[in-house]
Amino acid sequence: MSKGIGQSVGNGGVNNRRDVILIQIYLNNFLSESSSEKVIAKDGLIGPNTISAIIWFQKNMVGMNHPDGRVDPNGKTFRYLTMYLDESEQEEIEKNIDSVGTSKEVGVSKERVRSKAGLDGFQVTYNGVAEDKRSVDGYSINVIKLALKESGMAAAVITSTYRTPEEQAGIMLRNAKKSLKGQYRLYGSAGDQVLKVYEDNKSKKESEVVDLMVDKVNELSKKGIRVSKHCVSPEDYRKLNVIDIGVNSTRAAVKKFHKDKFTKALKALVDEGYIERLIDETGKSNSCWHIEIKPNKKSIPEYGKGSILHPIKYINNGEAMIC
Amino acid sequence: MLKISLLACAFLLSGTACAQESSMACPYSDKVEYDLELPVSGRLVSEGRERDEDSGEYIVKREVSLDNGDSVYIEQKYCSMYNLTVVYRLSEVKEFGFAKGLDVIHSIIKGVDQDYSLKSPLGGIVKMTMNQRRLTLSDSFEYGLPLQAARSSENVEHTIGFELLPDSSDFPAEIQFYLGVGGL
Repeated sequence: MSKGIGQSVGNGGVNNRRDVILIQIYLNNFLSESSSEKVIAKDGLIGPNTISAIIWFQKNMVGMNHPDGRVDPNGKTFRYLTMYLDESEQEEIEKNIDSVGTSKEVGVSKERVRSKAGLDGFQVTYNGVAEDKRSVDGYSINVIKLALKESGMAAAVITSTYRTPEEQAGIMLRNAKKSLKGQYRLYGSAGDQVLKVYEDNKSKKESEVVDLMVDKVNELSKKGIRVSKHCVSPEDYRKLNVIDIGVNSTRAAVKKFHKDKFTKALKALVDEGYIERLIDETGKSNSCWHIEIKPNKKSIPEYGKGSILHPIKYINNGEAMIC
Repeated sequence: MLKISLLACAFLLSGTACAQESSMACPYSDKVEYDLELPVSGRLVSEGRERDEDSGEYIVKREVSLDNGDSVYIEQKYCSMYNLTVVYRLSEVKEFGFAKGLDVIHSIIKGVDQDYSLKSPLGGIVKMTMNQRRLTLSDSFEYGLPLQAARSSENVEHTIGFELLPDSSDFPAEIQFYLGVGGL
């Protein structure tokens, strides 16, 4: 069971190193999503950056009119900080901190250590993705290579990254013309609203219909509602890489193809925090692994833990990204 | 505790319809929980099953009038994906009633037999979204809930809406929750 923080953290708090680290990790989950804020160091030291981040969180997420910059055990701020983490996720984070105690080796735990050693031999390529959409971060490519290494496959092929609202509307229009009913079945509420725009305006010129559909996609996007997993702005894409790895394209690119092993390897990377989300669509019509990766969320050191070439960065606080 | 069970398919539809629903063409039909429990007492107003005209998906719906004066409409639509819509109509627009409504919706979600669970109570998740976007109950709103608020290995779309209804309506406002699991 997760323990949370033992004593208060922040302005006027007790600020035990382990508790401070935990709060810094939780704060970073929100700071990394914000367009105006920067993530803070997970160094276990309380200072103006951490206190400012607590105040920002209390003001903008907890809705406090008079933020005090302090997080109390089981207090409101702590409850909000852990709102998007279930018990097992909190336990995992605490386990990682507790396993290294309060030394400076924050971010290095007894959990399995991944490294970039030996990843050069693996290939991640694109197929059917326009040149300007081949913008998967180097970090994400390395995460995919980790899964390849684990599964004994030499290559993976990315078949989809992100789509602009115009591209999304164009795809939906083309498919709706073939079978509107089929599209209504496959999309959720947001997609259905865009399809309804098509249905209501299909007698108009195609370019006009697309424009109207784009307007609807943008309107929904402003409300934080995505029509498709891939329909994100380039700015958002930099924060969260959305990637489809095609089953058929990958099968064609390798001699040894191990679908189940690769799925298992991706799942392990989800559990270890390298991948945010995995949707196994290998059995569906789009036949792919859909993964979402936050670039540089968790470091992948250059060398393994036991290597004599073990770099200083590796034993740092995990903030220093090597990719 | 109110437990309303939709009768077996045989009572409501022909036997063949059930068989068709369970076919490979409608993978989500196998995991539809018809016996959703409400944590509050009330009276069943209506229930039924039909096909959606636009998509051909199956729909199971019901409406319950609660003893506290509020009302709940639950609709499950499914075939190639699973859709849940809950509309909680409030007899009064007050913070307490709003929070209570979200608690009821949360308990309905917990009864849904799909690969989806919220990591915290819906009330807390919605409150944080409202704080983040500076929303209050004095205006209508509709927003997507954060994907990281839920655990699922499938594609998820979930939204929360609050709508102030016209004076001519029986209720002054309603909360709208939508969940989509699977799909594109």
